[in-house]
Amino acid sequence: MASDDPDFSDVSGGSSSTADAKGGRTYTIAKGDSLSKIAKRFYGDAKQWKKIHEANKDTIKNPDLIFPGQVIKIPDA
Amino acid sequence: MRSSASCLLAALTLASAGCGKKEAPKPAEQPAVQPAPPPAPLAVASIELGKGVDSMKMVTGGTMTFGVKDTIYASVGTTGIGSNATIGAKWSFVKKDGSLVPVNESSQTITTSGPVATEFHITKASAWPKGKYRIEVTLNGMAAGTKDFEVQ
Repeated sequence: MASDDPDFSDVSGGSSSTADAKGGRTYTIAKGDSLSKIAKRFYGDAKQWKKIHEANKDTIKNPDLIFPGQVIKIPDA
Repeated sequence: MRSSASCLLAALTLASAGCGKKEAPKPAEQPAVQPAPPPAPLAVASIELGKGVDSMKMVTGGTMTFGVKDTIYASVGTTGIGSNATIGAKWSFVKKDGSLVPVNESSQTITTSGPVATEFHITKASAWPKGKYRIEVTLNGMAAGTKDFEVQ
């Protein structure tokens, strides 16, 4: 990204479908996010952050260290 | 005698047949049994943009122009059947020179046997930079459509 490019690090996104979703939902981490905040958003319960961490252990080694722009899997509730 | 009666009966039968008695209609020809056409594979049929979606994931307030504080929604309509198909949405900012700056990327894996709508949305904590944007939709990693829009 060039230095004069606009900053989109605080963008968050999501998706949902009328079809059967089979655990393939992804989420792009935004600035200020934490796994517990994301868990609260998707499951309504911040304590479910471990479920997200478990599903993303290949890319999130330290649950306290996630980065804006990082795409993570959101397992079914 | 018996033989004569039989002949008479046969003659009467033939006579009556020749006097306007209609033949039994032939059964209608049976149409050849056609195998059911194979179900259509999953395909992206539409991409609609708006400021909201309803419970059926269809956009409400459809528009191609958004304000700097809007949440931007895209409803992707698909037809056909698919199992564990991945629909992706890549949002980008279009610079004046035409190059793209990544904004957000998300995907949804679906299993369906008919038309469905899948919504994608993006929101920004601070104001959206004004300018042109693009959403590129993929189906199982293959380009399936793009839509340009603007933030004013």
